[in-house]
Amino acid sequence: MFMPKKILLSAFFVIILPLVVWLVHGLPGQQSISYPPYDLTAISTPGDTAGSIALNWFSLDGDNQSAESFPDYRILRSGRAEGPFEEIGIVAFATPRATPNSRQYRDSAVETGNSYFYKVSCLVDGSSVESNAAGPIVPVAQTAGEKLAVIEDVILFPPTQLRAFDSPNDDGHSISIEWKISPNDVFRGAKFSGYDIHRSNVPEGPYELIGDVTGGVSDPGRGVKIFTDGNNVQDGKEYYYYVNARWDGQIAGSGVVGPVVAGQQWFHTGRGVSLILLGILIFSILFYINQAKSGKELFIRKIAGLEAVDEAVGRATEMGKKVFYVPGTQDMDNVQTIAGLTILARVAKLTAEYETRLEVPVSRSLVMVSAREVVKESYLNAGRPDYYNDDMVYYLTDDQFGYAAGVDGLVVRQKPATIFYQGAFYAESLILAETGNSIGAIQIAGTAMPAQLPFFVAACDYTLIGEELFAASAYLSREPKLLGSLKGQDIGGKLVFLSLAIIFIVMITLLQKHGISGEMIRVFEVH
Amino acid sequence: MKREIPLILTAVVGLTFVVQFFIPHYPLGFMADMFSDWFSIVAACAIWLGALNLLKISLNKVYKKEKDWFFAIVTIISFLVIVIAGFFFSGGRRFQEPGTNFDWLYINVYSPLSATMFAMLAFYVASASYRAFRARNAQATILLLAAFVVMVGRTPFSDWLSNLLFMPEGWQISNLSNIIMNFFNVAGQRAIMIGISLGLISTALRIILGIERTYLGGD
Repeated sequence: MFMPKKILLSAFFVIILPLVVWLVHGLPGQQSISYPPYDLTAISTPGDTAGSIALNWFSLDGDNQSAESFPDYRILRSGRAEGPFEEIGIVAFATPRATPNSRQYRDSAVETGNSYFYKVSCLVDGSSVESNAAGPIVPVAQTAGEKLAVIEDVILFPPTQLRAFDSPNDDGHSISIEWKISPNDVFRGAKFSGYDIHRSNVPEGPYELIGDVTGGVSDPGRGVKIFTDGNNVQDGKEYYYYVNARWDGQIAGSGVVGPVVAGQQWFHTGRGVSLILLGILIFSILFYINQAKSGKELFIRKIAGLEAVDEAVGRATEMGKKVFYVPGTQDMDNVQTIAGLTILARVAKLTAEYETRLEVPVSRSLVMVSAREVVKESYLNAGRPDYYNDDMVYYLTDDQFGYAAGVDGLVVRQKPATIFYQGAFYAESLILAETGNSIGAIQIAGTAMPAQLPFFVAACDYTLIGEELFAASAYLSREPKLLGSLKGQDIGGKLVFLSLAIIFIVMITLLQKHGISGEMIRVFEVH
Repeated sequence: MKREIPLILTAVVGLTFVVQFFIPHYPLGFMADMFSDWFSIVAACAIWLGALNLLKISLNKVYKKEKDWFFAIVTIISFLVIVIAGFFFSGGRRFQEPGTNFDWLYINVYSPLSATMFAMLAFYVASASYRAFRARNAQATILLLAAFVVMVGRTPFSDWLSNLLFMPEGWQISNLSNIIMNFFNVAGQRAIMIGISLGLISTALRIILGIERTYLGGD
């Protein structure tokens, strides 16, 4: 027995392709073992009048567990970046930790004015794992003053690598600031209370506080915190920034960055790929519209839900009952609502021809006005303007569940033979469809809300899935221009887009396999 | 002109939104925001059309003593009570603040009714699932099995069951549930999403170009 082509195709896309992707991503249970980098940071200890250097690094795996067998960290120091590094101290497992997942060490045996480099080393599974080298750091003896911080057991490290730049791809009046978070800003570090952002027009100040943010990173990939300053920023004017980290009464400030100037951009650089794809789609649609206008026959596959419209209205006519049409719960600014109204035009024409009563309860005033125009025109086209009545389309409420309750009440009391749900729906979809199902009405649904589709499929006789809702207008009217646009959407959209998608997936996979990533891959990112 | 002016308006507003997506420079973003504000203002004013229509239809039902006219009385009374309480007995512009009569009606009448409707969804999900998951044929049986694995996999019971069945490491029910959701389900969802996006763009284009005009009252 031969399996139908459709089932084979469906099996390929829904079962085999995901299976291959899943296998490529790794079999279950396989987990890679990785050690986090130490991410060693060194600063001249704030508040130390004698001058010392404070180190901070993130603990290795195992250091945050109760097993005291974890080896000691060895602190290495050198006067030169290339070494040699000599051991100057250890931090044992039992040493109190700075934060739940970081360690600190203070080197007081330094001379002010000299520069130093540091590394941290640890034995992991018999082999020595070394951190990055931090430095050069010159210890500075802090002069006693009013604003001098008291040296605490845990030293607050400031945010580093502060960068301020004109916010990309916007219409100006905005500057983005990003920084590498303070090492003290760690998960479960309850004492860490966030960052203050300060701004001035001149580097020497005075600076004003323009905002504050909580701890943690905004971009986990790069480990940075991002703040967007849109607070009365003028285009073309120079600004300077610094950021303070706050921890348990201590404050640590970053260096000052600037000048930075805000401006507006003429093209959104992150949307180049979208523009190309849109161009392909538009070209394809216009090409097929032209083809259709020149009289070429275009094949459009059968859509069961739309084929059933005549049958559904016919059934209501035979039973002498009403047809209900529910155009969703969204307003006229939603394309799904507009697509729903095009189907309403066809349904209204049929009810006019069959002399069947039609009711359209709506949840938006503007939809009511538009739906009335659509129904009125359809009755006119069917040659039955005398059958049209404004009260066929009526408003219930804007409220989602109020509308669901209202329609449910009408359905239960009036028991229509046929119900259409065409448009945008949220949680009310199943409440409506199940009530319709309970009275035995034939139901045809159509929506582009992916989360509601399973509910409609389960409760309705026919469902227009996503794009089928948008195809309805062309499918039902058979007008060449609309059919051409539908064909263009299919060819330009599905065929070209999916071919490009497969090509890009293969390219990215190959690039990543060969270690080429970063900027090259970002070219294909769509924002 | 009855048809041309709406078509020109649609094209101008639609194109502004499309161009603004790619060109953020002034005044396109400003224009897009302005058009959005205009829509909100028009929609807010149009609410009276809906409200008056609701009253008219309900009053007609009561006047003509149509079937189920009692429900129309409930609608009229509810409408008048909330409107009068909001306009005249809730401190004017501060009608939404806690402690006003409007707020009392909102908290004690509207919210429980709304929550009741939402809560009924649980029962509807149960009845719809019962019908959808009946093993009538091979495809429905696969759906049933997948649903069983996903549902059980999301409960603590799944680990106990996996241990009882001596399922190997990485093949526990919770893991299989995640695999179904992260690979098979996502694959299907994305296919639908791509189709929807293309349909959406194509329909928007038809409306902007004036090819699709059914929504204006013609076909």
